[in-house]
Amino acid sequence: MSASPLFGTSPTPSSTGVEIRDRAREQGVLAALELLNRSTATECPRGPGGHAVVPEPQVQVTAAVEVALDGGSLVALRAADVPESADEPSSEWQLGLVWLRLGISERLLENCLDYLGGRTAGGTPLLVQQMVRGQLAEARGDQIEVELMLAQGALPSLLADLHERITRTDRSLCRLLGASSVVETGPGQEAYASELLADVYSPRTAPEPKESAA
Amino acid sequence: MSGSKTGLERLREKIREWSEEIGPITPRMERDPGALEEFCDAAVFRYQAQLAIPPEYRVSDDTGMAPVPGEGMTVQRVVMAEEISAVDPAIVLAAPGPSLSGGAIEAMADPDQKKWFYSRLQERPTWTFFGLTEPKHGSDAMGLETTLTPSGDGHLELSGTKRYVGNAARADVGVVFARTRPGPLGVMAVMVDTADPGFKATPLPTLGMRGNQICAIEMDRVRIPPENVLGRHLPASRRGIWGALQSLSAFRPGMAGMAVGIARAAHDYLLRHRGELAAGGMERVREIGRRIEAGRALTLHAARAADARSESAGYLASAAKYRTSRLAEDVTREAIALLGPGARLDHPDLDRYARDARAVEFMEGTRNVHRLNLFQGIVQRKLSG
Repeated sequence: MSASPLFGTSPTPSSTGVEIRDRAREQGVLAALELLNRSTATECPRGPGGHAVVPEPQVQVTAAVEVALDGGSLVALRAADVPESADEPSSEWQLGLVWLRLGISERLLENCLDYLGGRTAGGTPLLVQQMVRGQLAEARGDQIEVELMLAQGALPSLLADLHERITRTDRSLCRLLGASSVVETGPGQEAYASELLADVYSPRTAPEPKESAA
Repeated sequence: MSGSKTGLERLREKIREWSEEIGPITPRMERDPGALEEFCDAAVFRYQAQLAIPPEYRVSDDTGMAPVPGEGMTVQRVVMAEEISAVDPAIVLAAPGPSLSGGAIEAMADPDQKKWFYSRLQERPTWTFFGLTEPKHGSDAMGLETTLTPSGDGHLELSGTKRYVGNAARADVGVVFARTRPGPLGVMAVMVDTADPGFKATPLPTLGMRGNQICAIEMDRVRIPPENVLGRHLPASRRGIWGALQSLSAFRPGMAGMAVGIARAAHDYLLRHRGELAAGGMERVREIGRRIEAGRALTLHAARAADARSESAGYLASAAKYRTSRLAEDVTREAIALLGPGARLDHPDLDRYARDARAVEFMEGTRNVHRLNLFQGIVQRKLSG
């Protein structure tokens, strides 16, 4: 295992990872991605499929997807449009991305608490309804587990699983936000951006040939 | 039974053919929901609009498709919704015609109001909207804050805010729910002309189902003539909230059909791209196919219960709506995972299906609302056998 600040073996969370998580929780995807890239001296990391996601590039690019967020936009590039100078991200960067997504997930939970606390159904605040409470508790439980795995120095082989857990948790939280989760100016947009980052960078096995249909 | 299945299959084939004719507009509609208006005369839109108008109010009986023998209207709507949604669910929701407001008209309008409403819709392609949801209370009719007050000259005035209302910015007419006094019986529904002063609808950009163009509505003392108040001939218990619930309930099987259609679109996509799947992927694709079959069976079961006016219909509609919404969300996510890193970028159709699946979840009640409704069916012993 790497002895880098992010892949520590101590149960104490690495300060850089926590800092990225906090930045994501407080300021959102773009600010946290900027911190992640800066702290790992990374410019345009290339995912295992050759794609890349970058905060508002300074040069002209052909975006496959552009996600408008507070403070700018996130641009996703197909492999053919990624600059040749792009490189595979370091282990530190990959682990930092999971910290970033955890922070966005926690930000989403905060959004849920604000939203559900201000809404009623049948005259009762949504936050006191048992099903809602249970779902919020499940989400937080998942987040805590992800945090502990990261703090213990998650092995690179576990990162895909952590990405998947965060995506599942975010989807459950988005459902609690109802229609507001699909409005581009709402918290669901950041959850989408977070999923897009996982889609491009989660160290999943690349497709292999081939299984014929029955 | 075999005869009716053949009829449904014929209906499926025809709707599929019509939907694929306008399928190419989907990328444009994603960028510009207004692009839809150029295609209003397409057969799939004409059929939807016509099917939603009760036969006795139709100017023409030609829907382009004969009714399916042995099957009711809900079953036909479900099949239509699935087939269109396998191309693009926004085509269902963005279609001109009575849509959800038609449910309120059916439940609460008197014969003169129905005649006025349906005649207007058949003069030219006309969008409608259903104004129930509000910023603080969602679609909880008990919490409505929009007001309907006498203006002093025999008319009424409508003031308030609605959110997440499909098609409102391009609609000519719609149904709005508002409060005349506190309490559950203090809610009324009125027909609103969107050209009237004080009415303003603003589209809200969304992640998915962009063609549906959901909107925010602001109403500032919009004048409502007394003849536009729905349910005046009905007892108070059969007006506002009851009418809203009837409208929503009638459309739930159709929403389930849409969710099945989205899941099927993702499944069909995987089959077309089977050569790009990770090893072992086809077994998962086959398993997805079996889950879709189950979701379709539940949806048709709920639709047949609705057509038979069974006491289990509302509960089954809830079961179908929430389970198929979950199916659509799970299948679209799984499809992206099966196609490897960057699948959202290399397969933009799959990305759209996944975004659309998220939008179906909240429409006409979220998962929790329907689970609670299903629970009511269980404890009231309405779902046995």
